[in-house]
Amino acid sequence: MLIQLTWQELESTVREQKRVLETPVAMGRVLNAMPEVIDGIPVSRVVLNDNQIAGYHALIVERNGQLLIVDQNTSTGTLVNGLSFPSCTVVDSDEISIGIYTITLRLGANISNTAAQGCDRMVGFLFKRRCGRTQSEGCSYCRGGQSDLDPYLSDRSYYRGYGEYDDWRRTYYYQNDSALYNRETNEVDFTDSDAATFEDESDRDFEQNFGAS
Amino acid sequence: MRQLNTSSNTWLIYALGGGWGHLNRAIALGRIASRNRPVKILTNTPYFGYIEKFLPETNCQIFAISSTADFETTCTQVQQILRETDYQCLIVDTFPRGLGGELATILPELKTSLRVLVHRDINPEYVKVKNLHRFVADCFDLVLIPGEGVEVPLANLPCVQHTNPWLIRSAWELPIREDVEAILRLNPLDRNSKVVLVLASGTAEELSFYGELTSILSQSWENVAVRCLSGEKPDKCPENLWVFHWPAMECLQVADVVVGSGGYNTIYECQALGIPLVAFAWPRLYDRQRVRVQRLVSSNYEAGLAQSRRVLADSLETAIAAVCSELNLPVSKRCRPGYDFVNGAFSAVFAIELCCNFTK
Repeated sequence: MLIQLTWQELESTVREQKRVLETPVAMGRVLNAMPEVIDGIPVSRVVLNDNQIAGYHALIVERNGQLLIVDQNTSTGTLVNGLSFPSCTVVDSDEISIGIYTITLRLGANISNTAAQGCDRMVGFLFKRRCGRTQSEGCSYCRGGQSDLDPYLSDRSYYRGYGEYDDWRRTYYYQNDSALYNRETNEVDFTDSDAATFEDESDRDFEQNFGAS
Repeated sequence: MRQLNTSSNTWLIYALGGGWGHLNRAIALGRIASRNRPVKILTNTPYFGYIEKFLPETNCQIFAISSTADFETTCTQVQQILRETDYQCLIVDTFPRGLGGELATILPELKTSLRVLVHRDINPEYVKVKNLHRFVADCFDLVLIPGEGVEVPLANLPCVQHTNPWLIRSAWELPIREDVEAILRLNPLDRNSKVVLVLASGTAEELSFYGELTSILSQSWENVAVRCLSGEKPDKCPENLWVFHWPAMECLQVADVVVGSGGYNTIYECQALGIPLVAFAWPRLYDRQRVRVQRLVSSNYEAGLAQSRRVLADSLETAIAAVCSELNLPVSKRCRPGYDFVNGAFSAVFAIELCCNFTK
């Protein structure tokens, strides 16, 4: 399960830290004191620099669809919304206090980290959808992160005969230059984004490969 | 069940699929069934060439489709063989509609009196997307689940029968220790050394991973012999540590720890012989290796079984740590090979025979 933890890092100036992490998530003062793997699953580790915090202080883990925070028998304890528990379930917007840190937990759609959710640009010729790419490298829509222009700003720019109207319309369709269609043939290919709109993800690979097992 | 006038008593086993599992399971069944009838096996595994010379003893006729044949060619060849071969019983391993969906249209027209599905665990998404519950209920007379438990998809169908895992060797067929030591090039005079056996298979990347693991393990301890068993020598695997032998099950008995995948053969062969297994659950489109390993780890834990431990590893480091942990166990707690396991292929043959007799 993906969770977002937000807290204020107390350095020379107060700086907000926001991390989107896959559970299980271990929190503590010493990186190597926290487990790297639990039950064969890699552990996301968060280092919090405070002497009141144990080397391995608490673990957030998913059990039966619920999130559970488990204090690792620390002397200072782990507080959820101000109350101390050896372990308890946590939900969206809960505040977890460890040492001097107050950490806000966000789940599901409330996670705001764009790096985790991908690009917000709306792409697709026929059907608009979020780009969702987590990196811009190789992206034809933003041209590798170099352009903020939306190549599909005017879908009508793809219509056959576009740009052959009278002067008034020619002025109106000024987006022509940013279009990505084939101007020699006037043909418009589906984009990979359009294809993804039609794609049933669960069906795409089955019965396609005689080398599978 | 269809009442058809076929003079043949042949069983035809559809065992298409990459890797060792489908063919090994088919041979496990076929070599027992072939004592009383002709058995033909249809395969396209790339490993067929490695074991071809061993196959005469199985007494099964093999239809081997090239693993490099394109999709359409493979479909056509499968359909041609199924249409033109005379057989009493069709046994389909794992993929009820065929691995490429090529059986879906021809199953209803096939001249066979009995259709059996061998239901190794499969991806529930595949079951849902292809509506397999309905398809299997309509097209198959018997569904055999070879040791995969009651929680697999399709286990709720009325025509389901469970058996123990199907194994390529029964207990009394295993070779003596001296023969295995010769196969693995182990020093018979040094039985105090522990043996780690790496069963390498899968994709090129996975093979390479196992090769590197073999190399690291061999340098980690004195008095530990490490051998890598695979069809071809993996990259990074030292030449002197690589061995090929089929079936691999014959070599497991000398191992103190086996490192391998969460695939069907590896898991159930180690379980049968009580050998600790450090398993990597590789991603597969249909097979759920992680689920299989976790299910058996959990069931053994609940049953309080010290034997046939399985450890789910996910990196070189965790595998090495797990192997180290197993090797350092006191002898009394270490698993020792057991020879009282039951080969489920016998009861599977019996179940199919009963159905065949019913259709006569």
